Amino acid sequence: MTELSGFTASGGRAGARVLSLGIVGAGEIVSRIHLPVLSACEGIRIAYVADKNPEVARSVAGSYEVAPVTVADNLDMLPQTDVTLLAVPVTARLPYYELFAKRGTCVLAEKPLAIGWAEAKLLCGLYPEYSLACGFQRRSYGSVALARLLVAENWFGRLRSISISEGALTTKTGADSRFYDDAASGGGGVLMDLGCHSLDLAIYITNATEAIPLEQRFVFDGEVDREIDAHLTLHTAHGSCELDCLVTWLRPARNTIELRFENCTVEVSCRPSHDVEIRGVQNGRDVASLTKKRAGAATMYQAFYLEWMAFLDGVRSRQASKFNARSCLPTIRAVEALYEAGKRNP
Amino acid sequence: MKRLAILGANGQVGTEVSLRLRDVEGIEVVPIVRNVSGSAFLRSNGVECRHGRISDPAEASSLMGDCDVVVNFALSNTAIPRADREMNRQIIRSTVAAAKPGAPIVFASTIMVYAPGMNVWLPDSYGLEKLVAECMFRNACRTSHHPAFVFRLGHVLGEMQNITSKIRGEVRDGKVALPHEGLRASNTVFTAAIVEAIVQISQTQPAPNPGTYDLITFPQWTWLDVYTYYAAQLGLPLRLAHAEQVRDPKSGLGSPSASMRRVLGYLANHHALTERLTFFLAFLPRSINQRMYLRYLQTRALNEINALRQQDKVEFCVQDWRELRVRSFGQMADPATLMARYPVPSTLQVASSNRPA
Repeated sequence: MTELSGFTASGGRAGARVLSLGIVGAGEIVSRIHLPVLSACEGIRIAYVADKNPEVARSVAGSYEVAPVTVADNLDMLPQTDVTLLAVPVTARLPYYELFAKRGTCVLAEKPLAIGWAEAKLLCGLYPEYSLACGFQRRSYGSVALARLLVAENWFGRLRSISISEGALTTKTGADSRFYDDAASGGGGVLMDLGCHSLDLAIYITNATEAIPLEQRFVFDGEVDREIDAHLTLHTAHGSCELDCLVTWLRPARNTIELRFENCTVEVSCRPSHDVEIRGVQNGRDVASLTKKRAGAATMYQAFYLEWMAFLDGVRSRQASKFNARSCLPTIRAVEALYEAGKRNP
Repeated sequence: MKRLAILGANGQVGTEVSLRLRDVEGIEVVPIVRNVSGSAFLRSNGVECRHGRISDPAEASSLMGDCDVVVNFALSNTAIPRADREMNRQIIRSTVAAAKPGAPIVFASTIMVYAPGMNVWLPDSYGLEKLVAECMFRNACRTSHHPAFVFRLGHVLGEMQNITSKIRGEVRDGKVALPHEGLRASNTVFTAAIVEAIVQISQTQPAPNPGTYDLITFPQWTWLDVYTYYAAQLGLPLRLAHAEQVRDPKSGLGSPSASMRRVLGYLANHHALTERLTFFLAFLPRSINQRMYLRYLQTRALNEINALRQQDKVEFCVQDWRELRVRSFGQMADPATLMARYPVPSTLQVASSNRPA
């Protein structure tokens, strides 16, 4: 009578090959997010933390008992590893991409993957699909997995439109403010820093192949964009869908993504969560909550952990994960198109 | 015909025992319930009930004074400890005083008096209250010359018992995780065994010796036996989780680094304390400050990631309690035989049918 049966638990990593991992760039995102997460990941060995600034490399690496490496002009001096986290400013990345592609090292790059779509596409050509990924970690939120399922399976009828509202009154970066003030480094600007995440979610949830800007209004502060209000069309396999996108550092926002279906509206938080909220089309005051059990991340660290696990599993099995760089191209193209249109007609 | 009073007959155990006694030859079951609302279910199943307050000596006398055996399942449970204690003791006093002279009285106690969940004997408040009540009951019976039976009930299984519903649900869900692979004794008893014990007191000659008994299936059933029994009843396979699929509440404890993690984990969840410690941290060198902060983040990340890992795992379906050495109530047939001997009305057996998903 008794039948011993396995559940679908992810317990299979225990015997998986241990991958060596190098980290290039020792900024805040690495020390505060990636290293705490990576030190809890199974199946990897962190080989080094590299930075141009020897003191920073030593300090961050020392805190996690990892070998520090100072990045010199000759990048070939970087130790060989199976996988690398690339977390240096986007404008400085190209030589690293070329080096790691040549070595056959798999790369998970912090967003943005590249300065623009053409460069991103070129980079994708340098790597097998499974071995280059971009850090749009919001894809691992439980709520996002649920929203994607609702759209794919038409639970509430056809998706008619999406509305993004994300941001806050101040940037509260918690990081070196120069990074955010320097548009040239590629890190600055609310669209590149924050908006790309929400745009990526809209694209990922709908499985869109393209996001075409129709209208946009930027608020620039010198070279740095502080707010964008844009209207786009998402092209999906099942037709098109309207997308309104407000991302701001100048005023409070709802910090939600609203999916308007034929029969109801589904609200997905921009923060990690397991749940989505559902409102009827007739009476928006009545709210129900929907949860997908064991769907994904409900905290930021969980989101990054799942991103890493998906990427590393993909590296081991040579299967592209949902974070693969090619899947990020529509987002990169949309961001670039919005900036181009904004500069022509802010 | 023996008339048998059941006090607290609208409780979970009292109801099922009353129903199983309903058709026993030679027994007239008299459930006693405080009000007609409480007895509605029993009455709707054809069991006549008496209504009144057994804590009132005069009422108690009229309610049970003509009964040959009294079984006390009554339990005040208002969540106001003082009120419950006074009421439960009053019920004992009143019952012993009101029972027909020389009538055996059964007091339903619990195995919680053994503190089975603890390595040392330290019962919880429920167990302690029952223990004190047992003493009081024995003394009162001795003074008034009533044969006193104390039944320390194990986890009660039966058609109408919550534990049974839970077990069936877990078998249906296909997620059963049992400590020690289910091989440890379960300390369970079926309602039919309670009925059998009551019937023996009422009808067997010579009557069983008064005393304190553990009403636990004897020989003990393991949890695996219990789950296998219900799986067979449902016609479903019993799917047991492997050890690595089970959430381990003790994981990570013991090592010095785990101790540090626990401290940091505690701090991560107690911001008031963390903020006050921050004042003192500011006196330490910057490098130590940074290292401590990053270690704190590392701990927080680990806690959150562990929570995520545990999501895929199943919790133990039952508590990992000690096996009790049973002071059994004489010879009894096996539970399956007893459940068949004292059936509940077929309309109640919905839970045993294999409902389509």
